[in-house]
Amino acid sequence: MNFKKIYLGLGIAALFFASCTTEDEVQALPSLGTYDKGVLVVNEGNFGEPNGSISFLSNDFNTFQNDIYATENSGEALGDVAQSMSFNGDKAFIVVNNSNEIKVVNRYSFKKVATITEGLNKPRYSVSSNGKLFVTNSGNKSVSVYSLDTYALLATINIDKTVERIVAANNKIYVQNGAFGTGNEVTMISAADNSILSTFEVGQGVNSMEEKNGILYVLCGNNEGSSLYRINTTTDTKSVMQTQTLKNAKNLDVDGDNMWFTVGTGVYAMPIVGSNFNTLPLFSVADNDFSTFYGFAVINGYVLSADANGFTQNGILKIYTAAGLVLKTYNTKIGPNGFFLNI
Amino acid sequence: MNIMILQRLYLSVFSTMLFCSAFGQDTSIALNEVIITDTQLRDFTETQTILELSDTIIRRNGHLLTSLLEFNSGIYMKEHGVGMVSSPSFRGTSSQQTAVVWNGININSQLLGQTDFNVISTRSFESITIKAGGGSVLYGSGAIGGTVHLNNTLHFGESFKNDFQIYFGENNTLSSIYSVKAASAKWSASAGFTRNSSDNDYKFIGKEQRNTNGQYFNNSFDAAVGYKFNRRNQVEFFSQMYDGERHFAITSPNAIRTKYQDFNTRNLINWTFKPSTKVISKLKLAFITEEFKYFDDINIADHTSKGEVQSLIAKYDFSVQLLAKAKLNVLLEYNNNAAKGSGITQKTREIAGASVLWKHDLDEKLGYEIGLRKESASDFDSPLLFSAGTYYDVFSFYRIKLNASKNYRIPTFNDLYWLDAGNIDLKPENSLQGEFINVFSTGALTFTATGYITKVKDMIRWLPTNGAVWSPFNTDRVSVIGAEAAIDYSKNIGNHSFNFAAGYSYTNSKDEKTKKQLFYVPYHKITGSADYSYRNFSAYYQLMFTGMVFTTSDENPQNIIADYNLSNIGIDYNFSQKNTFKIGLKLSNAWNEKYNSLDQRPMPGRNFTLYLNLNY
Repeated sequence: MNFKKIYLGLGIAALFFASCTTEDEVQALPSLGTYDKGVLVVNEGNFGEPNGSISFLSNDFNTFQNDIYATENSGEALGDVAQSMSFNGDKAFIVVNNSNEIKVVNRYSFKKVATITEGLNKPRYSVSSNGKLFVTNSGNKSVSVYSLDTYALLATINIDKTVERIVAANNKIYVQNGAFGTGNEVTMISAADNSILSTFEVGQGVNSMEEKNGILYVLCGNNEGSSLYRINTTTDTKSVMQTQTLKNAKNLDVDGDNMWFTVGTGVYAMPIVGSNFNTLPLFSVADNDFSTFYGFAVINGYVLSADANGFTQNGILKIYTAAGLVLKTYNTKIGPNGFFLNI
Repeated sequence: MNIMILQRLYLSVFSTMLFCSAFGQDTSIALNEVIITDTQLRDFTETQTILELSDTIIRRNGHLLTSLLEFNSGIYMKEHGVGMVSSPSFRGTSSQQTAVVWNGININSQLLGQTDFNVISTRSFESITIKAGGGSVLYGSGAIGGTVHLNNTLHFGESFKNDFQIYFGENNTLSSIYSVKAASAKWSASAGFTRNSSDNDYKFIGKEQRNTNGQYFNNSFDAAVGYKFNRRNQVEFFSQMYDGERHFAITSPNAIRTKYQDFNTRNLINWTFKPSTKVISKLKLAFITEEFKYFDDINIADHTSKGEVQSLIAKYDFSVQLLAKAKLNVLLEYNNNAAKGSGITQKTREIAGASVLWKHDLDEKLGYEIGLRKESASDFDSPLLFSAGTYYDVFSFYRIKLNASKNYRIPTFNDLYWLDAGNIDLKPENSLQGEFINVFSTGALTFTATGYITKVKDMIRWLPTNGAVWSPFNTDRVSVIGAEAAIDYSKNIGNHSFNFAAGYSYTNSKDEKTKKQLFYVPYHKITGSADYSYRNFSAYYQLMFTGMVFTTSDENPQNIIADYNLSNIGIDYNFSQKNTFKIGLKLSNAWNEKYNSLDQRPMPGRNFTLYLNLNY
């Protein structure tokens, strides 16, 4: 039984989530399109099947719509393992890992603008900086660089280590050299000339990172404990705080002045300026088929969780208050893995 | 990560072997004697249902096991496009719950726990037999839904025969077989070579695209030798080597192209000693290897992952006729499996087992069979397995059979030892089942109606953990209620012969927690065939209907694969009166049905195969 799950189903294992990079207050500006002012949910789909998709959640959490990419593009399938999304200007870049494509869409209308295929080798994450799109490729352990004007391949930077999440700050690109519980480095690249500048050693099990006000926050978790590194992107120096109490912390998300993360089924938060881990969870959620928090984000103090539901059926999106009260529950498509604030 | 993907490419993961043994073989040396080594399939399955597919049927169907079984049995096949990864669901169970048995030896992968039904080349075998229902007492792990038996035979008596078959299909599809058999009263030897290959770039019905990166080839070499030293001693040797490569068809145009290679060898030697007419002693030694290589980018010469297992199986099989119509059979077995690969550092597993089988025909009408098996394994606890069955001839034309058994599926090497993910605490999956079979038969007509219940618990399933990796757990329970009906009718009128066969299966297979139908298990499946022959001419029609399946576990009506109905039509003519010089033409998917057995994996439309069979 459960053929699909295991057979097709899975895939790209492990967990990670999303990065909801904006903590700005949602403002009452005129709408720029159907999908302005809301949260885009990436559903990766089953490995080996082109059933990745994007869902849309309105800012007030009251409306929810699945399959917006297919809806806006004449039913076209998004592809096989929709891994992540990033934005630049009015464009969104949807990285479709096992299809080996990046779909470029208008982030407000979701109409397709272009498809990037050149130079990709199992792409994972992307980020824009200095007029260029930087993409991590797990297949050949590289970062490929594209023009944001023409989407032409400009360069391929060989990293020769696991490459996963990618963040831009201060004209530099930070590449997480770890995934699936292993790896302990972050590579820094010049956004101007694509050269590798240096490498930061961080904790084993580096799994998520986010930048705020010039500081790159890097979360690492393993069976011995967890650590948070702060890399100052101006001075290129790092500091660390550690805990042995919390093992395998993951899903770092900065929201306002707090950083949030998860350990098992527990949700944790602490000030971004704090010097110690807060080892008490704010709340815990019920476990469900071991795939709770396949996606995780915090938006204005509301916790969004994506339960992949074992990949054998549609996933579940739940919105919690900081106290753990469930505000809303929606059915997503297969394998929701991340939330991206679209404002 | 690629390794994890690979692993999931097949259902989760698993298995070992135990197997069969042999009862019987009490025929004395005679001319034209035919010997199969898996004698228990013949002697110890009277209370279950056996379907033997003859070599005529094997020749008229596709060259891979998937296409043969889907048109000729109730087994449902999930196929990732023609020739690609294919796994069965037999009586509503998982792909690791069907055991494939080669000359009495369970050959399911020790790493994956299942056999890929597109890695078995059918035309290497004289007969392929399907046994529905539990068989772990006889055949070991995975014999829950049923077993599929690939048998070679040895013929004694003066003869010398060459057999050549060649099949040309569209998309450069070629299947060719050459074999030679020679025998005397004491000696029997055969050897055969089979090659199948295809560009497999069929056009999708109603679309511009073609199947891409689906090309495959495979070569098999088979040999069998038997020698009778004297009335009391004989030795048989069977060998097979399979070497194949498949590219995996892509589902999106820019996907990185992958391929997969299999290399399998199977060797079995059996010494039979008959100290008296009532006692048979057999000593069997088998050496089985499996090896795969996965290339996650075909443009890179080196493979990205590989795995290999070597298995040594020693078995002692002793049977004695105790009463006039009762047999006792004791089996002692030892299995040693050594595995290593990209995800597994060198691991060895040992399993020792003992079985006792008892068969007693009380009178002409009534008999029963009982079997018990217990094993001791180095890395998991094994349950006591049993089977018990009885038959009774209510009337001369009506027999009823009852059978109950406990069966299991052991954790695979991947399940137990996968780096950082395997779970050494896994238990075997285990299953209890019962069935009730009605058989009506007259000379020309046989009708069978069966009802069964199967419960499976501790199903092993790989799940994403809240740590960082996927790991296997004993989780689900499944409850299957099913019904099967089969009819076979033959009639000869002068030089005209007719045969009609059909089967229907209803499978209600529920996850006990959610009460939902398992996904990729159809409620309904129908197969049928009609044959007509007149002198040297024959024509046949084959039909398969597969009902709707859910593709997700929540019975979501949006996530289904619609039913499909396929027909094949063939004709052939034998130009030789004495031997075989046959030319035939087969039209597959005659009505150009648009279908797929897995989501987003379109299957071919109408296509032709031209074939030539020579036997001299």
